[in-house]
Amino acid sequence: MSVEIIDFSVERKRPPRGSTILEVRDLHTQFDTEQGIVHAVAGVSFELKAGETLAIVGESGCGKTVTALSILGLLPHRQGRIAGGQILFHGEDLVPMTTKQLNTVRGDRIAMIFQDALTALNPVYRVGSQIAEMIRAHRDVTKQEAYERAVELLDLVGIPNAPRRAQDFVHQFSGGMRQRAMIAMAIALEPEILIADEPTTALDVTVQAQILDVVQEIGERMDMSIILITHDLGVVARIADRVMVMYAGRHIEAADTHDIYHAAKHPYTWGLLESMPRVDAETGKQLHQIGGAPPSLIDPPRGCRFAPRCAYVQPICETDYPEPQVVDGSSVVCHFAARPDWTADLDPTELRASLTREGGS
Amino acid sequence: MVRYTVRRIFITIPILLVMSVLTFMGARAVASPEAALRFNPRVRPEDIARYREQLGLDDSEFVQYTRWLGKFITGDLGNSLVARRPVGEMLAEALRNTMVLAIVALTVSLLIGVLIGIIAAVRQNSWFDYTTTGLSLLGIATPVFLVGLMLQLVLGVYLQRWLNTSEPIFYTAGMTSPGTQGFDLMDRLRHIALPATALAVQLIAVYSRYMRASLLEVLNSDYIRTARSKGISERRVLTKHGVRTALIPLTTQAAIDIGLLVGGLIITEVIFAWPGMGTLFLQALFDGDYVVILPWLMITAAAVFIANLIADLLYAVLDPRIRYA
Ligand SMILES: Nc1ncnc2c1ncn2[C@@H]1O[C@H](COP(=O)(O)OP(=O)(O)OP(=O)(O)O)[C@@H](O)[C@H]1O
Ligand SMILES: [Mg+2]
Repeated sequence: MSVEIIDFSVERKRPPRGSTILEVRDLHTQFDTEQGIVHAVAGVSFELKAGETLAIVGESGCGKTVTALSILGLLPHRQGRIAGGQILFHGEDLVPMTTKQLNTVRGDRIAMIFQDALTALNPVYRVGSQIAEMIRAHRDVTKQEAYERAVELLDLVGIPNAPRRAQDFVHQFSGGMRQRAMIAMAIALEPEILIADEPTTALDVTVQAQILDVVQEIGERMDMSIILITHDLGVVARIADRVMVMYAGRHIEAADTHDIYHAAKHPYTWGLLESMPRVDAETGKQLHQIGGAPPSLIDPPRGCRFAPRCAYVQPICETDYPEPQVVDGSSVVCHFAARPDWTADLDPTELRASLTREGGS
Repeated sequence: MVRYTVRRIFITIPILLVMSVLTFMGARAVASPEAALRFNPRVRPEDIARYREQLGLDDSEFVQYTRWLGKFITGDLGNSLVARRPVGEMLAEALRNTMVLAIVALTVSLLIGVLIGIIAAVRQNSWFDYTTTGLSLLGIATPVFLVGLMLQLVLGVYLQRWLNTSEPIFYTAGMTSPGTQGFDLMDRLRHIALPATALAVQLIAVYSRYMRASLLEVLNSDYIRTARSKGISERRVLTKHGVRTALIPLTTQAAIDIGLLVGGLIITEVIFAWPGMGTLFLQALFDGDYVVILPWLMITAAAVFIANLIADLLYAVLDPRIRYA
């Protein structure tokens, strides 16, 4: 194409790598339902550093999407609300902001890729014009310029024949292309933070890998920080710098990716890792499964939320909520995280024995 | 889409044919053209016999039907037995008058209904929402004749008495004042206001409910959330992404409704002496004028078919997910 390339990235000083650009402090998000108040997120804290990729993992319903939506103020108007906590973006709290103020951040500085691209894109507008709409909301450009940029972006994320496909509607796209289009939209303005909510769940494995490559490559090229929400620990190992594990609306462990895989400090994380199929596992070994089900979010347990399913559970776990503690650079929410013998190889009966010994002495 | 349209029209033809047989039998069963003559003591039996022969009423039903159908298809509708005017002309005039009333009422109702629906959906569970919900249930439940009579009484009679004017502000009958020459817009409006309002009460009630439900569904969808995540103004989210999509089912419903209104305004037209299809039908029924009744039934049936086809095509135009092959 001999179209003159328009530069849409405003000159924004990116903060130096490693400095904190987003800090979530003790976030509480609730929903009103007919059964009562759902405490979907109940005290989540984490930091995102410039240029890093943070993975949020945890089983279905643990509050990953709700955490992401809270950041951008996208909770369903009527039922959902942030009941407490702070979301500091460059030190400025997003929680009390009006919609108008948030709109200067949304799309332009923090953008989001949604879980299901088929329903997340408007069925009655052409894909290209939906991307152009977002550009026009933040940049002073003509419709034509915005649209040309949209076509470029579709091309950039690997959609073949982009000028023609830009005129299609979302239902005319394949699953992988839809997700690419979502990515094209999210990166249109080179945001500082890209939140990708399970961008590959609905896709087959080869397409999954391609999509993740696109996210990773563009993230690097545009020097974005990425929050990647996923179930897939394999993906995490491949592209995340840091990992936050969530359970029933709380973060329970946050650490460098390497440490999560090699020196996890929370029994739930151990369970997650063991339930993951590995190429290097001994053949014939059964995949581990965490017994029981997550607790009710309407009337959650008083103590540690994982206690009812934890093999190492002690009386204190059922009465006191453990405070996050930093052990070897990881933030862990478990009463016993600091114990020297605290590894996945520890036998629960041994813990009991040594606890009685310590208590007795 | 052209192929789809052509196919739809071809499917419609046999249906209309079957309908024509049924209406022919039905109309002949209820409407007896010589009934009026029978009760007239000055008419002799021979006259009645001659009359029947003239109309071909003594031929077999089948012969009568095919004769009528042949003429109907070639556009020869004959003369009314009572009014002695060409039936085609009478129907065209009545159809035009009904369409004027239907389209005015429908347009007003759509505008108001959509507006109410939008506000009710955006302010779900507010006093506005509850009030309009209550009012529309009332509107749907109140029969049109009651609304019509109340309007005549309050806005027709009482208003005139109260303002003490020599002429009513709103007329309670007819389309124009007798003796008006040419097209007098003010006079027309003062005539159409009450019948259109009577119709609009129900239509607004239905459309506002429909719009509210449709918009609520759209506003809860994922793509609205995406639109919000783009940082476009809330107003644009609501209008461009919300209302635009929510209007699709409403538009097609309105198209279907026009078809239904062609033959469906009998009560309103009678109450307000509106010279439309309904009035014509009732008069023809009283007169046993089957020459009028038969094409009337065919036209109103065809109107429903055509309106449904238009609604389907409209749907395809408005919603890119729908494509007819
Ligand atoms: N609009 C809502 N109303 C009521 N409860 C909700 C609402 N949205 C989410 N929740 C609840 O909040 C909890 C967390 O949901 P969330 O969507 O964040 O889970 P998730 O971790 O993203 O799961 P998944 O991996 O399946 O996407 C769930 O228990 C869910 O039922
Ligand atoms: Mg989710």
